[in-house]
Amino acid sequence: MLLSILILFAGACFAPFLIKHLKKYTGYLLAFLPTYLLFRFFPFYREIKGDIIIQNTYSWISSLNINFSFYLDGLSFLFTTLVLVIGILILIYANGYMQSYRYTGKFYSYMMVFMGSMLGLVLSGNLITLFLFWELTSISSFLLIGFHHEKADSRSAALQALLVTGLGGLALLAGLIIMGNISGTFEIVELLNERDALISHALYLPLLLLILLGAFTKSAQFPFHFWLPAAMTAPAPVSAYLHSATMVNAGIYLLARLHPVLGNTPEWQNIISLFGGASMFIGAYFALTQKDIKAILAYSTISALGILMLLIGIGTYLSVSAALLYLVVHALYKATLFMVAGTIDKTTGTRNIDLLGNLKKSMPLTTIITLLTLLSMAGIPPMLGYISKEFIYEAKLQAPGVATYVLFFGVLTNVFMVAISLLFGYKIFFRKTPPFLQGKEIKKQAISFWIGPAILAITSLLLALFPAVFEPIIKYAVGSVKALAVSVELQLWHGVNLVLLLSGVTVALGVMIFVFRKTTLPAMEKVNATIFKLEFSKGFNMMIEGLLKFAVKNTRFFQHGYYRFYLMVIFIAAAILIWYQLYRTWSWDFLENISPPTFYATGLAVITLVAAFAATFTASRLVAIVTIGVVGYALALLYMIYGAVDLAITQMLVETLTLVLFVMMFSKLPPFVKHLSSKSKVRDGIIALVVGGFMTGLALKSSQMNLGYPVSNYIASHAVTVGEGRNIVNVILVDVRAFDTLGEVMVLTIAALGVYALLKFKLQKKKL
Amino acid sequence: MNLIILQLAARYIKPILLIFSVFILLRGHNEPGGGFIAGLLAGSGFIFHAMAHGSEKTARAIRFKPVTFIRIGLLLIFFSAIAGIISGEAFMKSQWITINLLIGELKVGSPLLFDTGIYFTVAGVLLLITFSIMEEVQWK
Repeated sequence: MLLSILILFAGACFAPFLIKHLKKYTGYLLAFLPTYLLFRFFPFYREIKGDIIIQNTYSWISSLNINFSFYLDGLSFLFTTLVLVIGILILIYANGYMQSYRYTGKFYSYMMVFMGSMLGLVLSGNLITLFLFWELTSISSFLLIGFHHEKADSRSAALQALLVTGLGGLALLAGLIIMGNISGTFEIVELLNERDALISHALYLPLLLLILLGAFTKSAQFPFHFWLPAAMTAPAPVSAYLHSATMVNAGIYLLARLHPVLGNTPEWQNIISLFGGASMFIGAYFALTQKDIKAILAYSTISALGILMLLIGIGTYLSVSAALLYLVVHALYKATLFMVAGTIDKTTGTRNIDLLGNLKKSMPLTTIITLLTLLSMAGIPPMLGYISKEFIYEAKLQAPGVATYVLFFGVLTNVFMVAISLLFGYKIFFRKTPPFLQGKEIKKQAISFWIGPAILAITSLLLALFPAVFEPIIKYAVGSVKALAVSVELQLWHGVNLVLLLSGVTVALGVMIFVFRKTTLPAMEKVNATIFKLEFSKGFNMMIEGLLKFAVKNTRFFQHGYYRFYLMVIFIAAAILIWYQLYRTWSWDFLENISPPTFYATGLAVITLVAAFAATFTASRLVAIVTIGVVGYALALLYMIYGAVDLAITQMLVETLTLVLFVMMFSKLPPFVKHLSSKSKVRDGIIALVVGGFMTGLALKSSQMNLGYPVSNYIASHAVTVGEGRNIVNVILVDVRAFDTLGEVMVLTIAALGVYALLKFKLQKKKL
Repeated sequence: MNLIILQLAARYIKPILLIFSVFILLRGHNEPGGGFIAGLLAGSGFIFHAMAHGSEKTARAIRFKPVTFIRIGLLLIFFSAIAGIISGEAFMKSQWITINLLIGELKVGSPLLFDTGIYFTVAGVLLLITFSIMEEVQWK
């Protein structure tokens, strides 16, 4: 299974090369990869049938229980098929659609990366692997939404989508880690046995909320739904693939996957059905008053995702099977509609529904496809959408506790859906040619533009007519959600019952809204204009702007650019902390075993003191530099006396080089004038004394520190035998603590590059 | 600047410092010395030359850019670090081989490689900083 994902990623790498040589056929050629994978996965169906779960594990960070493991069961199989089949059709469609754009190489690369990550996501058997692919889909979605990167709204939409899903991703990671900590495993197979430990744990609610936050942001649930309509700035194949059929379903997949582990608790049912129900209703309501056909589809996608969430939340056998069935139905019709929307945009040059009309003459094939699909969306026989709608109604009828409320809003949502379908079909294809399109020649579309939608629409019809083919796949998928096999019967005709009645009412009300559209729609728009003035996406952007402003202020405050104040802040902060600690632990014990200083040491100390005083009070810079140098050399000699030869040599060299650098700069430094007032001199003096004081205190303190067993003995005894060297300092530097040395060398390198960059930058400015 | 005495001194001191730095580097594991000190010494040699002749002339005489020294150094450190992985042990674990020469045995190990890396990096860093400053103050 890892190989399958890698094949898709390899496709991503080769796409730009294909574009260079075979631009006309890149989409077709790339479509071979998912086709091949489909054939690779198909034989697994036999295992799925026999209730065998296929697993592959590659060790990754085994000490943390994190493995690269893959897992194929009924649910994964359903999603895999969906991802691959729709992927093939989208690539074929993109071959025609993307022909006129630049940077198509990038586009196909991102598409293949997304396809690979989505496949990885639904095949992951380890929560951390799953998270990895989850984030990869977010990133590829960001890149694809921002495909027209020269447009500002494209960029902001991409960023918004990334931030929202990224936020959810972080929450999800936290939730998954809590889950892993409680149960001690990240493997989904093993988690199935940990259900009791998880749902009775005190952290169950927090971890559930975190995971739900991840799922809700990804699946564009209210109140995080706003990124999805904004994401419609992406090219049509992206909207059709990522933002309706696959990526946004990742949240649904996650919850379905975790349902046997975390599901069917009151918290799970209430929270998910609340947010799912809200998104379901709000999405459909907003979809009705949109003008941009892609926005209409986006809002209806939010609604559909809400329905899916709701059904997963209800969590009965019936509702989960309804959810999975609807997932397939929705993917089939929504991908088709997005592709149609893209075709219309391409041919007419507009996506505004008010400007379109009478396209049935110029695009007969597309018209038929769209009508079939709209029937499915409205839930009208003989399409698969009808079966799934019946199922959903039945599931909602049997929902424990919340049935009446859910059913009411569910019916209302479907009424809107019917109305949207009617409006969509009528306005675009049937009404008289509007002024915008008059006299415009509409070109015939190449085969790639309608072949994908046609296949999807016909599939939707055939599956409804012969549901037996499709039934087992849903059955096995449901089986793995509930970890229990149940029978799911798909039928076109259910007999006369309450559900059929509800269907009738739904269609009738939907038609009513459509018939009285002249009065209903403006009324809705008015309501929207007054109540929902502030759009969520605007609110989000304002929040981000506010955050950036705060960050600027914050940075200005701390990074003021005055070197002396930085030093002062560091010194004072260090002094306060260290003096406090010294004060707490101070004792005068060290006076007892102090040894009388040697003659040389005393002499050096006197020299140091004199030089330090001279440096402080001199009026000449040269004297100051030289006296500070004297202090440094005296220190080096002191090291020598106490036997630290390496240290002494280093100190000597560094001191010399510092002096040399000082001398070089000497002529360039500003004149050594008295630029300090006596007040600030006193202040600096106090700070210097305080800092010098604590350094002295620390030095005295270090001599009485009692560290159980000094490391030095160990190193001394092992330097020759293990380290192969008699110079202990060097053995420590290059062997025992080589990592530290490496870090120091890195710091040196970065500092040198910094100096270089600073000076070079200034030089260039001067030249300009 | 045309400093005859300095230039004459540099002619002799530079090679001495360079050879001495290699000596310090190689003895470092057993006697006082090591990559850091040796790197400083080597850098000092070049800096001495640069003070007498100006940084441009020195840079031309070295032929390599200071950054190249840093690159070489970091590369050597990298190789010494992965030597452990290659022989199946932990990252940065030191590896030693004894080479039998006719005169006697010579022990070579990844810490020596590491130290050599430090040597090049430190010298490179020193030269990069000094040359940048010299260019800035236009030391000729």
